[in-house]
Amino acid sequence: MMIRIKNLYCGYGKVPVLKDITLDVKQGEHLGIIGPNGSGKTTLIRAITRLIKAISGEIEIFGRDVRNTDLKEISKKVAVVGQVSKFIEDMKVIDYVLLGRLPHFKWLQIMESKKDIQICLHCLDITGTLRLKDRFMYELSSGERQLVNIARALSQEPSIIILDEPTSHLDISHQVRILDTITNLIRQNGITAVTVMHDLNLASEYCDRLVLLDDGKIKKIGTPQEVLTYSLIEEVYKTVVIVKENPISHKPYVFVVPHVDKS
Amino acid sequence: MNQKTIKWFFYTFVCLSILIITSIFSLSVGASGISLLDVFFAIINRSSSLQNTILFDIRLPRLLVGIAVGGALAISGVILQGMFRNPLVDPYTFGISGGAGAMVCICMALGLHRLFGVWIMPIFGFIGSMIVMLIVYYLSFKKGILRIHGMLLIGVMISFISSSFIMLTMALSKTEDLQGIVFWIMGSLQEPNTSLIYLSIAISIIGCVVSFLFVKDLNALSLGEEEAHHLGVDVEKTKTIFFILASILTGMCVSISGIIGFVGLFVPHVLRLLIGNDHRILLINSFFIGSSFLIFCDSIARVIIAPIELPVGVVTGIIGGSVFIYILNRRISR
Repeated sequence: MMIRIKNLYCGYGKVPVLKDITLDVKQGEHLGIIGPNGSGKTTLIRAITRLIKAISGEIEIFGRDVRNTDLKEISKKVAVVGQVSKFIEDMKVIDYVLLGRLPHFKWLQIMESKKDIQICLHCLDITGTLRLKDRFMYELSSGERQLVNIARALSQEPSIIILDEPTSHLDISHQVRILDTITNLIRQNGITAVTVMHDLNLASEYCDRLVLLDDGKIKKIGTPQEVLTYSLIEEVYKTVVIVKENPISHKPYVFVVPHVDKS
Repeated sequence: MNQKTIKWFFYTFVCLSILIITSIFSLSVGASGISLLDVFFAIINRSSSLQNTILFDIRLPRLLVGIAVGGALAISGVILQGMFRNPLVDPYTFGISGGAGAMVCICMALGLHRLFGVWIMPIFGFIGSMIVMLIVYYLSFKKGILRIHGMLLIGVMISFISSSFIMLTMALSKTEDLQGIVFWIMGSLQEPNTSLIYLSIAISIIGCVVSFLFVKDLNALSLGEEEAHHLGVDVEKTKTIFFILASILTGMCVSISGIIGFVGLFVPHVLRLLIGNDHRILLINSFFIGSSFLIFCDSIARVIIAPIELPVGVVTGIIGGSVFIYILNRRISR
């Protein structure tokens, strides 16, 4: 088991945001975390990566309690794709991706080795951004930035990649390109992916299993067919939807039903 | 050796050369003009001539203070700008200079420098800066997290409070002390105590070495605190180390040479533009260019209306401020 969470309670103050979370993530699977705003999706990611401490319960990565594992050791196994910082606008793409090699640097190592550079070029190649290596970050589009961000995470050589809303603010072509890249990584490199998603249809198409969070608790874990049901979505999101099957992938497809006053 | 390493060696060589050239220039200019050739002969043949006395007893100590203070202020600027991911933060933002200034003014107003000697002023200044550092740290450290945005606001507020204290002290001071306070506030590289000169050099070199040991973490911090954490950096420990380091360096600078503005803000900015944002190259070269800039400004301050000497803070303010506006304008219009 790559990640094992048992009876986890955690939050930002004394009141827990996440309540009694129990969850296993298997090797090579793509787990999607869905739920309405404020349901605790990002908090769960922060707890797994030790950004916030658990009030009670256990989180294990590769069978080791994260509280007793060195932060550097965790960052060699788990990479997180978040938003691109604004302060690195003047940085070249290759230098940005090389930052991902930091967990592998020895204490007194200042410069990156040839091997580090080779790994970063390979990661840029995987994400289809090798041609951008000498460009500055401010020259890239939002979609290219997110792909470069994924390349930086991959340069950590992780076994688990955690993505926090990787497709938000992107057009449909970049959404598909990014999620295709993740799927290829899972299939070819055996990486495990945990992705927070707002788009239920993309989650349905790309994730093997989904975790539906509601008010800090797990409402349902299962395949997209088990989780994305009309009754569950209406109950959790308080929105009327129609769920049909995608005729090509046979995965559930969620249609929203607008409530516009037509008078 | 890859292309980047060669480029960085070249940058370092250029910056070090600028420091060496500025140092020789600084030794050769002054009210009593000494030619470059005389400086060279004086260095290889140390005799007890008047020229050598001017060079080694007056100008060299000043040069050493300039190297230590300019380098330390520039390093503090790089550290704080990197840590806060804000290019407008400088070593004086946290009220450390204000704390030191207020204590030195109190020391002068009470006439303690006449009673114990002038060496008491840097000690008071350093105590003031450390008191402010502890207050800012204590008020910003909540629930195991050093909240840097709160820290910035607290620092600015302490700066205002310190300025009010300085003005109050000046208003209550005797006329003969007032000029001393004003000149101290405007900054000077003149330091009569040799031990303090050596101490300032030791502190700035140690500061440079220690900050270089954590330079990779500073690079990671420029991505953001969460991202740095995901790269295995102990963010709270790193922020605390950098804050204490920058405070000690700034406290030392203010105590020895008064409030010299713009070095910590201007030098990192110019270098970021010229050699990039990577702190591995930025840090060491900021030390060289910070030293060079301060030495150059001090040389100008000494000769521009010779034999009267301008406070160096006035020159760094005018030159640094003007160039800073030019650079900022260029960046905005890019």
